[in-house]
Amino acid sequence: MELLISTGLILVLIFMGMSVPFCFLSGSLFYAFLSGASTGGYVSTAFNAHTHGVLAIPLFMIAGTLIEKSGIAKTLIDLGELMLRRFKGGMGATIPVVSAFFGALSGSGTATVTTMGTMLTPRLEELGWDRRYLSAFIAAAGPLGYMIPPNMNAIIYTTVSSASVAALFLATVIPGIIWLALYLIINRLTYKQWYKVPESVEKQTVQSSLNDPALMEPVKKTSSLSIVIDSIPAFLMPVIIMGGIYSGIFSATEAGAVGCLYALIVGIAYYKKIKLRDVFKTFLNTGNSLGSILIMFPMTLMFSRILVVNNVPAMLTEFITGFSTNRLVILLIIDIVLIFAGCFLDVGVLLLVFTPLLLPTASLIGLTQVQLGVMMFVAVGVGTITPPMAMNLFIAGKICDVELKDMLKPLVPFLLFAALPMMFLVTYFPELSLWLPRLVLGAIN
Amino acid sequence: MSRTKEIFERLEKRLYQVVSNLLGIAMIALTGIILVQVFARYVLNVSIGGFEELPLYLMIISVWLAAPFVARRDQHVKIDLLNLVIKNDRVNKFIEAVLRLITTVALSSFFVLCVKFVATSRQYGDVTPGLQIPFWMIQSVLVFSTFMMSFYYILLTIKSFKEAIKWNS
Amino acid sequence: SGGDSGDGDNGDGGDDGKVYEWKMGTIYNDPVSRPDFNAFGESMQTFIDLVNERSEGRIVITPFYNSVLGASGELYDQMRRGELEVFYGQPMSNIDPRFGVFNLPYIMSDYDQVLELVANPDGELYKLGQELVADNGGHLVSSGASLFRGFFNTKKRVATVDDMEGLKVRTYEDPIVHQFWAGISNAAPMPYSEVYTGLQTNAVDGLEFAATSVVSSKFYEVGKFYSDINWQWTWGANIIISQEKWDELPDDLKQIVSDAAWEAMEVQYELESANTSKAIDELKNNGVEVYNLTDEERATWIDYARSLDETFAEEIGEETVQRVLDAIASLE
Ligand code: NA
Ligand code: NA
Repeated sequence: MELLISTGLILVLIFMGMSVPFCFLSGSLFYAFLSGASTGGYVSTAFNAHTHGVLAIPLFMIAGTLIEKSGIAKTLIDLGELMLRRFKGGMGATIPVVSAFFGALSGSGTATVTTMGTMLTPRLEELGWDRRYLSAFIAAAGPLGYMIPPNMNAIIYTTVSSASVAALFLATVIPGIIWLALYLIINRLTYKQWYKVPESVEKQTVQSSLNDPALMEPVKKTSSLSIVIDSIPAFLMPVIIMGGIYSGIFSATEAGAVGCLYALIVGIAYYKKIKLRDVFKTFLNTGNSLGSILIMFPMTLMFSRILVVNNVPAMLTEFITGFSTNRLVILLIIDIVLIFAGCFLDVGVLLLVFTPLLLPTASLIGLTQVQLGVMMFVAVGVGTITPPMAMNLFIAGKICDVELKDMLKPLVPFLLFAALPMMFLVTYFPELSLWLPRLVLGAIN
Repeated sequence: MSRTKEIFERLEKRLYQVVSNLLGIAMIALTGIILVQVFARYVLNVSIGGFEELPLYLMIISVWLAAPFVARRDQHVKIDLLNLVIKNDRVNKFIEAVLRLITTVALSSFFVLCVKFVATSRQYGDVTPGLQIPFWMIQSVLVFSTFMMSFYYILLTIKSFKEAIKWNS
Repeated sequence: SGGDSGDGDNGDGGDDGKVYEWKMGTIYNDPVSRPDFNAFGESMQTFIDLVNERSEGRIVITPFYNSVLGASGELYDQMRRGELEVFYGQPMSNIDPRFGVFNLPYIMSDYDQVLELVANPDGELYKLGQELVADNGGHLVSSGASLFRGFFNTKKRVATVDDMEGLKVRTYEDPIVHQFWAGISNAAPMPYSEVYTGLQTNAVDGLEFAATSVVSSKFYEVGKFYSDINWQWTWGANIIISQEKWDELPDDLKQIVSDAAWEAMEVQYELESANTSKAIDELKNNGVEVYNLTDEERATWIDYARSLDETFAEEIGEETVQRVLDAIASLE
């Protein structure tokens, strides 16, 4: 009862707009106040909340920024435009494609949204695309940033489960590619209402042999060949990072640091874009944003421990299996719980609070920790674009200067026909997640 | 009155700059140590000994050091939903004030718990496995952090109550 | 504190009506979800079942397996602070360096010695453990036979210390474990969850591990060599109750808890020794070469271990080490 009231309090406070980490802190303290339970373990839990795996977050955040500053991200965009200039649906398709490219270098969905928002929006808007569409699409494509490995969320997931990072990285590849394909199809079908030929381009088009102005390639000053050559260092990066991890040279967490070093070297020596002043600023800004991202961990873990101590995971298992003993129905319930929770909760909360809650149910119905992980990651991706708590929408909206309510209409098709179906695909077709890691690693523990 | 306020603001700004720079240095050190560790292990076939644990503690310290400065601007992750539902600015200001008050109470209670926790840690005298750093020293950052956060939220609470009342009249 | 009579009257006075609701935390696996090769988990569950049953509801212990309440050091810390009533596991040496004395390499020669000195209410080393734990906020109710650790790897048969050269060995944050392996191999700490794929990707070549754990973690799927170097007996099966929680218990319940704790340790020993031979068979069935060291080969390991004695004694404290050495000498 006390637990229910505290949980309710947390949700109400979140809704009313109180800072989320402190909602959880208040909820934990309020629980102790109501039930007379000891608060003595809270600080210990908070202090121990940051484990070695969490180090991946600052490292991948820094790497993401350095990739943008180094000129690697720009090369990826040039290349994406080059590849897609004859693709129906026009330059809008660069959003998911470049997000996936970027994802091969970065482990973070947030960094992907930030970089795409900053770098792609001005270019596409110039070509006649509606900001509202751009911001919604960029937000929706954010999850590709981690579905294509490296995957920061996978590293966090291993801190609360016993799945291995190497298997998890491979598990999201095929779902990530399907997700990308769905976005391309949706873009192809819906882009026309969000695209208007700018006047400057219209004049040229009249004389052009092309009928569809959205196919117009952007004004190119550099040749295709130089774009391809310039992108070589960018494509070397995933080779080095993934190669390093799978040949056992460094761990997934360490890969973040290697990514930083690589982006720095390429940015200074090859693209000659990075200034030393920017480097310090990048590290400093990351240090600052840690204060808002990682403070979530201790605050939510305190409440998560309260749930565990009160046997909520077992109760949840009982509750879910009480509905039905049919495995397919249980999976559906898990999906619904995750999607619903994703509306209100932040990425970190979802991974850290719900994984321990769902593990007993998963083990009961023979759901492997790797597959549960992929389900969690897709749920996290869905959660980042479902209001009210929708991190990717917030970031994309802020960068593109679009209000949240204006993003909803263009967002709906991406959510209904790509993100949510992905959730059910990875739930009901385990081979989508398990086939590749089994192929590469031989067996999954 | 405004003179002390000015001095205080300057002091606070200075502290922010110092901590900010510390954070930048901590992040560079963290990344650097991990790179050295990879290099030492893979190329030199040696381990860097106790230093392996340092990045983790640098991160923990950074997180708790940075949190108050996010609090200062009330920029911790939150949902802006109420503004869409309730159109009355005065009501919204009042709700904001109450939420900040709750945050202040929660943070200052947590501050007290942190002080107690670090005090017992000092008695126990545990050290980190690698570099033998006393744990209570690292844990002290929680005391600093929660103190500063409580302090900033007191200011924020007062500010929004003042604004709410101003609208009232 | 009273409670001198127990005539069944559940009145207000005394603590005869009081129900002690305890949490018991461990890093070991839940025997329900991991029934095989899990002597630690089984013995913890035995303890809980016995106490809950014999106390007739006056003590209710709820288990928390799989580190859900925190890692080993954190669990011990919670126990010491009275936030966790019971801890099952190994007191780590960063809490008190003297705890390391039980984990010195090649200090225990076999289970007989362990049963005599440690897994025994009158054992000299159980008493030492009790003193050390008492200095660190806990009451050591019972100590078990725990297990010996061999060496498992993907590369080659390991017989002597020299065979270790160039092998990448997984260790963890424990000074003795790390220093021992760093002296003869390329040792690096790695989280346990990464070991399986680490062996697959050659991030590590091997690790020191008990045969039963190699089987239960299915490492035999990715590596082919096991040697019974038995370099370390670990002080891994201990039931420790927070001192303040122990003190508030009436004498009859103390007796029930203590009896149950020792019986649980008997279960741990019986299961572990039965499991070890079963595990060896299982390893062989799965194509793992199980190598039993000759006396000469074992001597190279023991010599190496003795060369570290001074370093370890300095870290642990001469006096504590001497007590252990004396206790072992008194057996012979
Ligand atoms: Na990625
Ligand atoms: Na959401």
